[in-house]
Order: sequence, then structure tokens, then C-alpha cells
Amino acid sequence: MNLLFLLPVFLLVGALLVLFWWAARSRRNAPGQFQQSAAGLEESGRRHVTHCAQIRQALSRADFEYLSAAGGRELARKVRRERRRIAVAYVAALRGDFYRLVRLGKMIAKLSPEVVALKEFERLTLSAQFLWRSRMVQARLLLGMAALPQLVAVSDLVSLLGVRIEAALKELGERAAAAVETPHPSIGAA
Amino acid sequence: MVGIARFELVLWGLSLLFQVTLVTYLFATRKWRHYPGLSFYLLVNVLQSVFLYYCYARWGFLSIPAKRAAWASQIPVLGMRAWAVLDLSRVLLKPYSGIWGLAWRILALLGSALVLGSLLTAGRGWQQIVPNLNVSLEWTTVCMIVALFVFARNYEIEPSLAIRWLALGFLLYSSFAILNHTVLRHWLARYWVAWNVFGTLSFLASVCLWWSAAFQPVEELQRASMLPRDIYHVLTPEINLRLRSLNERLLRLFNAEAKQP
Repeated sequence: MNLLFLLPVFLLVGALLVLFWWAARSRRNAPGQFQQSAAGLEESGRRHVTHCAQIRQALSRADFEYLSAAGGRELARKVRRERRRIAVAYVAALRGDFYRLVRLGKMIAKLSPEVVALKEFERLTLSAQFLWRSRMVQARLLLGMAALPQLVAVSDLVSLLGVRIEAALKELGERAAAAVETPHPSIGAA
Repeated sequence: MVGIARFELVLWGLSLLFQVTLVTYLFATRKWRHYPGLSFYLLVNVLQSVFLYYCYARWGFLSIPAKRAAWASQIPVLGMRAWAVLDLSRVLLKPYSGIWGLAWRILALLGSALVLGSLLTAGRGWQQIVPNLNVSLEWTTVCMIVALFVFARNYEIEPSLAIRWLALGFLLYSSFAILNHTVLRHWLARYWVAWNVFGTLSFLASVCLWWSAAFQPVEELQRASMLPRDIYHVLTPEINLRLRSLNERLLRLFNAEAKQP
């Protein structure tokens, strides 16, 4: 008896059920998530500013060329490996910053009396694009195909982002604090 | 009644008993005001069962008029189910007025597209249209519920236990109906007796899940405290602009790497 005709329907239904389970499972979010998200972004902005010089130094071509010339092939290999490790970690950290910003955008939308579909859709597509690109960059770094010094351009932007948004958040935080610290309305609501 | 196996009759009676007690409970405790969609859906289901019992007793389970009456009585039931699913969306998202405004448009668009697709692919002739439309609407129910929960997750909205049980009940019944129909279409002659039994069993399981949902404590639906209106309009374009710049920088980095030998 040929059961293959059942397979696509069973797979599709199974996939939808798995998606439902993933979406419906409890996340145990604490109240005040808005402030957490905003604080995380401010914190990361400060972190980037603090460590930007070291990261720039670690990834600079001149530094690498000097060490290679002075220390020989063995040291050059060690340095290259270390630089790659730093770059991979840095791309992961950038992704974390990007998502903190995305989360902040979602929180603002969630607590706003009206939202604009186009803006929400734009954030969704930007998130998907960034996730794909950062993974590709990370994969290229791991495979040794990426030019390390160029990462500094991205790090500059994130540093700037963290610092500039901090001022806006300070003002927003004061206005939002009273509005956000209410119990989660959908828990136990019906 | 001629043509119905005893086991199937017992299951049917059990299902009816569960539904009647649940509907009575919902109306007696005034919880129907919290779940109007579910309450009226179950009420219409009970009325359909009474109507079908009369039809089967009068014309026989296997007769053509009884079969037609059974499929025709599915129309109000499906309509009420659509309302119950929409009501579920309302209960979950209504406290967030901005998100709800966006969600109902997306869900309405998705639902309309799926229903239109169902109508276009339902086929011709009474024998084909109603069962095909029925299963397509089951697909619509499953897709709508999954889309609703994915949407809620995207905005970090935590559904209450009662909402989860309710959704799971609809999802279980509709998923099972889809699988049941797929098998039935290929083994029509051998499978149709089992089809009825499995359908009733899955519905019984769904009623049990709705029981669990109805027994959860309920609180009045309250609107979340909103941020001032201008914050979204000022900060969201700013955040999106920064996300876009970050993305463009990363793209340039990626393209520059790609050009390297």
C-alpha cells in the first residue's frame, strides 16, 4: 500500500503544530522588559566606546604586519588565529546589539496606541537581512576568507548608535517608566 | 438508530454530554461573556447534534437526505467556529491597541485569502464542494491560529494558560480533521466508518481542552498602559534608520570581502 501521498500533508500539519508549540510556549518575561532592553542598549553602547580602541588595535593591518615581520611565521599564525577569534566574537556581539535595538523597537510598538504596518514590516525585513548577512560574515571569518580590518567600520557605527540612542532613551525612559510598570495584561486575562 | 455502530453512538452521546455541561457551566457562571465565541460555537454544535439525531432517526444514518442535512448543518457550525477563532485573537491581542489594529488586518487578509482559495478549489457538485470546503476551512483555522501565536511571540505577548488550552483545542480538532480527510479521500470505501469515530474522538479531546480552559480563573480584560502616541512616531523611524545603516555597513563589508581574490 502506497502511503507516500500522505507524507506532504502529514509533514505540513506537523510543521504547523511545531510552529504553534514554539510560539505558544511560556517565556516567563519579567515586567519592566522595556527598561531592560533600553538599559542593555545603553550598556552595550558604553562597552563599544570603551573597547573600540582595543578592538581597532587588535584588528589593524599595520599591527599584524609588524608582528609578522618581527616575530616570524609561527607568531604570525598565532596572531592570525587570535585575530579571527576576536572578529568572530565581535560579529556575534554586534548581532546582540542589533537585536537589542530591534527588541526596543518591538517594545515601543507593543505599548503604542497605534502602529504603522510599513514601519513594522521594515524592521522585520531588516532583522532577517542582518541575521543572514552577519551569519555569512561570521562563516567567512571562520573559513579565513574575510578581511579583518574592515570590521572596524561596523564597530564605529554600533558605538555611535549606542551613544546617540542613549540620550533619546533617557528622555523616553522617564516618560515610559510609569506606563510600563503595570502587570502584564494578557496573563490570566480573558 | 439504523446504520450507526454502538461504539460510535456512545462516543457521540459522550461528546454531546460534555458539550452540554460545558455550555451550561459557561452560561451559569457568566464566563460566556469572557469567551462568547467558544460559548456560542458549542451551543450551535449542541443544536446541530439534536438536529442530526432527528434526521438520522427519521431518514436513517446512510440515507441521502440525512447526509445532505448533515453537510448543510455544518455551515452555521463553521461560521461560529470562525467567530470563536477571531474571538481568541481579540482576547489575546486587544489589550495592545496598536498591535491589535495591525494584527486584525493581517489576520483578516490571511483568512480572506485562505477562504477564497478554499472556494476556488472546492470543485463542482454537492458531493465535492461541501467536504472540500470543510477541509479547506480546517486548514484556514490551523493557519490562522499558528499565525496569531507567531505574531504574539514576535511582540513578546505571553498568552495565558486558558488561551493556550483554547487554541490547542481548535488546533487539535482541525489538524485531525485535515489528516482524517486526507486518508478518507484515498480509502473512501474502507475508511469511512473509522473516519466518523476518529473525528468524534478528536472532538471529544478538544472539548476536554476547552473544559480545562473554562476552569482557569478569569480576570477582566484590561487595556495595557500605553506610551504617549508621539513616541512611536518619533523613535521608530529613528531606530529603523539605524538598523538600516547597520545593515548597509554589513552589506558593504560582505561585498568587499566577496570581491577579494
